Amino acid sequence: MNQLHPTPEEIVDYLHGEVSPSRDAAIHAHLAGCAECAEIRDSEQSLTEMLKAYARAEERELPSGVVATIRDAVRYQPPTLWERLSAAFRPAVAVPVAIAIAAFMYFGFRFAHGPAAASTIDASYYVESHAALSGSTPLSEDQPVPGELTDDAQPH
Amino acid sequence: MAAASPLKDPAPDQAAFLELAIDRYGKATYNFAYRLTCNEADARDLTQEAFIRVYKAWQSFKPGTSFLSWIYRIVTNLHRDELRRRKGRYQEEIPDDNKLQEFSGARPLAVAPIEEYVDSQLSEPLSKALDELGTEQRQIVWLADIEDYSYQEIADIVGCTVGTVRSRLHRARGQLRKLVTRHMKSPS
Repeated sequence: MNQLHPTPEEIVDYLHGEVSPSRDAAIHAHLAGCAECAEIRDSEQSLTEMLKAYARAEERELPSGVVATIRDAVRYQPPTLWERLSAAFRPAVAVPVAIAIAAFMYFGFRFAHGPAAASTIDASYYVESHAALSGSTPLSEDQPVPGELTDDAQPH
Repeated sequence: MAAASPLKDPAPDQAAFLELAIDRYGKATYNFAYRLTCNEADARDLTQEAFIRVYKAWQSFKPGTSFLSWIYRIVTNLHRDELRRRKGRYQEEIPDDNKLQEFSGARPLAVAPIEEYVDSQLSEPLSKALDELGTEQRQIVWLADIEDYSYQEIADIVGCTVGTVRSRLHRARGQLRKLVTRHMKSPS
C-alpha cells in the first residue's frame, strides 16, 4: 500500500480530531486529491452521522420515577460515621458525657487503688489493735498464757 | 405537636447541587446508562445509584471540570461492578413511566434528512447492531461518536489508556458496519 495514503484507522482518528496538527494538515491535503481515501472518509463520516441521528431519535426522557426514587433515597440515607460522631459531640451531649467520664475515671481510680492502700493500713491496724487488746483484756482467751511470756515463772 | 418525621432533610447546598445535577444531566445520564445496559430497568437502577453517589460525594466535585464526565465515570464503574456481581444479565419488567421521547417542533434542518433515513431504514438494524456490540465497544462508540468526547476524556471515563480507546473504537466501528449490513440483509 502506498505509504502516502492514510490508513482507514488514521482517517477515523482524523475525523475525531485525534491526530497531530501536522498530520491533520497532511491528511486534509491528501483527502482533497485522493478519491479512494475521500470515499473512506465519507463512509466513516456517514457512520458517525447515522449514530448521532439514531441517538437523537432514540433519546429517552428521564423517567419521573427515577427522580422520585433518588430524592427518597437521599433523604433516607443513614448517617455516616462522621455524622454520628459529630452528633455525639454536640455540647448538649458532650458535657454530660464528659462529666460522666471524669467521674468514672476519678472513682474508678479510687476503687482500683483502694485495696492496695488498705492492706498496709490493715497491717498496722492489726498490730496496734492486738497490743491494745492485750493491754485491756490480758485474760482473754486469745491472749497467750502470761507464764509463757516470762522467763522467771515460778514452778508450782 | 406534630409527630417526628423519620425523614432527614438534606443540607441545603447538597440538595441544591443534586437537584441541579438531575435537572441538567439526568436525561443524558439515563440515556448513557441505557446505552450501556440495553434495558430500561437496569438503566433506571444505574441512574439512581449514580445520582446517590453524586449526592454523597458532592464536595469532591471540582468546579470547572466536566460534571458529565464525572457522572459517566460513576455510571461506568457502577455498571462494571454490577456485571461482575451478576456475571450475566437479566431483564426486569419495564415500568410504565418509561417511554420513548416524542419529538415536538421542527428538527434542525441540518440533521433532518439523515434522521428520517435512519428512522425509516436504519433504526432497527443499527439498534440491533449496537446491542450486539460488547459493552466496552458500545460505550466507546457512544462516547466518541455521539457525545463527541476526546480519546483522552474517554480514557479517563472508562479507566483505560488512550491507545486502548483508539483500538476499541476502530474495532467497534468495523464490527458495527458488519452487523448493520447483516441486519439490513436479513431483518428478523
